[in-house]
Amino acid sequence: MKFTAKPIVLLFIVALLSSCVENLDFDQVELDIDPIFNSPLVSLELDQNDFFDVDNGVEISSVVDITDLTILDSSIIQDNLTQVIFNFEVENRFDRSFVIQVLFFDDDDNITENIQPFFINAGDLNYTANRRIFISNPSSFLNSTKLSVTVTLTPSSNQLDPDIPKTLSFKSAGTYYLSF
Amino acid sequence: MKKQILLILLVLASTLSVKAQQQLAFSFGESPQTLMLNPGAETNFSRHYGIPVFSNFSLTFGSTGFVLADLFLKDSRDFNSKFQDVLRKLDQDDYININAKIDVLNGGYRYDDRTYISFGFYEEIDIIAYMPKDVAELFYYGNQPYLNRTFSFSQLSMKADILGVLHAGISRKVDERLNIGARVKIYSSSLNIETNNNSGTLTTFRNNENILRQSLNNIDVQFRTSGLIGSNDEFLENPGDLFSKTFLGGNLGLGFDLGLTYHFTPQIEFTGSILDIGFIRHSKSTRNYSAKGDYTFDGINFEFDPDNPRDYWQELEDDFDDKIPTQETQDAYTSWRPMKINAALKYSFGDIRSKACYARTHKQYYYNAIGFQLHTIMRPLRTQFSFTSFFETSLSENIHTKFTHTINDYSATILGSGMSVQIGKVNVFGLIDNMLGVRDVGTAGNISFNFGINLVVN
Repeated sequence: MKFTAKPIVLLFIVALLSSCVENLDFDQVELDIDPIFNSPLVSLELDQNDFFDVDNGVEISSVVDITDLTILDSSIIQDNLTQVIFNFEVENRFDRSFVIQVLFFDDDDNITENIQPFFINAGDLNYTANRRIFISNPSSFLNSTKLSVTVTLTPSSNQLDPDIPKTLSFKSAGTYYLSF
Repeated sequence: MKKQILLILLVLASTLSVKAQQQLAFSFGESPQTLMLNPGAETNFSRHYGIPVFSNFSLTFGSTGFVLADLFLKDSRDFNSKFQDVLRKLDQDDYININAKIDVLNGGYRYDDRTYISFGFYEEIDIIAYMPKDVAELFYYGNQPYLNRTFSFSQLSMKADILGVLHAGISRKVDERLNIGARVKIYSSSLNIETNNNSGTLTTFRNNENILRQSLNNIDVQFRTSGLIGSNDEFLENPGDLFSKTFLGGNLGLGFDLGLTYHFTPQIEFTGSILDIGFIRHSKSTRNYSAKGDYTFDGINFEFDPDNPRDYWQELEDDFDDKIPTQETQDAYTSWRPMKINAALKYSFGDIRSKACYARTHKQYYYNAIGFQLHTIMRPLRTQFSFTSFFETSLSENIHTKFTHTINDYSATILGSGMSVQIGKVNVFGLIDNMLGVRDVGTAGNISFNFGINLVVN
């Protein structure tokens, strides 16, 4: 018997002709890409010898270190960074208080961001703080190419003894909000 | 006859409006284009001429893990919310595959009673990109929401090709049971981008050295490109060259197709082929990038030593470059073509018709057939399989149809159909896959079509 498939074929054709993409809207593509990245920043550990001039037998009230930080030069950061949050953790095993100052500078050593200083009480082992920077337009912060940390002993009648081990530990990380 | 012509026009109109799958044409007789899927296919004509550009056109789009409607459905949902849902659903084995082939020239002639020779030139675009879920989420969300998560770079795997293929094949009848064939191909690639076999992870986690530690482990990532960046570092220097170089002007390669048809009995037929056993040697306009190593980043550790001031940032960059060296080279490399294997077993039954063939010979055909076919293609991450069962029936001596059900990566319910029609010397064929998907393209994981017009002289 000859198989007659014409009705089936016609059914398929009707199905094909009714194909559509009408329910799709390709104009709705407005994708907001707002990733948030975390990264370690600067750490340090100082002991009593860092604050004591052995030759002269006197305290050093302040120490400072600085580094280049050219990552902000990146066009991705320049064009898309919206805010930054810096997180800080300090563990102070000294029986002295400290002030820690974090500064950003541009190529000409102009201050581009002065992070509000941290006052660390004597014996504070769990100091935490964060500082938020909103990126304005134009933003002096985006011109930053250097970062310095200054650690200052606050005056006290309680003098350092170089023979008694003490440490100050400072840790930091940055949270960077980007928007493309 | 008018009804038949109307039927043909309807099929052609519908196949042009959507997309079908070239593999369905495998073992679908009567069209000379079957030789492109099986050089060992039997031929019953003395010559054929492909209509330039229209002799064979196929387009396939497939995606696993999501469908177009997931992103583009016309509704009130925010696009970002849809995108996040898709990103959440995807896994590393999901992929997007786009393939388009267009026959620029195709022809053939009978050398003798046993031998048929065919030749031509076609252009092909083939893209497969696996979904690097980890990398996508890292760039979309950042690492902040995913402390302690290990982002893997091994999921980076893709291959994109634009090439032209100059080919010549021979189909030879060995005896009444066996027909064998082979085709030699000269590839000319105008664009190749590929990355595969990558490794490495990025993890951010809390650590005692600093608040956070970032760790890059076992990084070994490489991208190879040809035709993408010109000698003057211009990106796609002249996009028009992408197609003009496909005719022997690009990076050249060599390949083969092999195939056979074997009749166990007059009613049981086996057909099989291996296509694109070949390679392309990329030596022109190549640009390769690689990075390899391990790195642990705890931030900058201030030493507060005024007597020995340090350039921390430069030290950091030097240390990173030393531990994860990156390379950009213009070295030549070899790219393998994605080999395909087709096999079909067919049982013919029903009324018998006699067809006039070349040299005043006649051949007997059954009106109906059932069978199954297997299609595999070697892809960068793993081989893709699809299994198709089919039913063929001839509506007349000149109109042949095929209906299929396919199970593959995309779906287990893919229905397809095809038709091959002979009007005088004109052979027209069209195949469409995923009939259900065609009704709503947005929800179809894959849709493809194959269409061609050829002049066939018996």
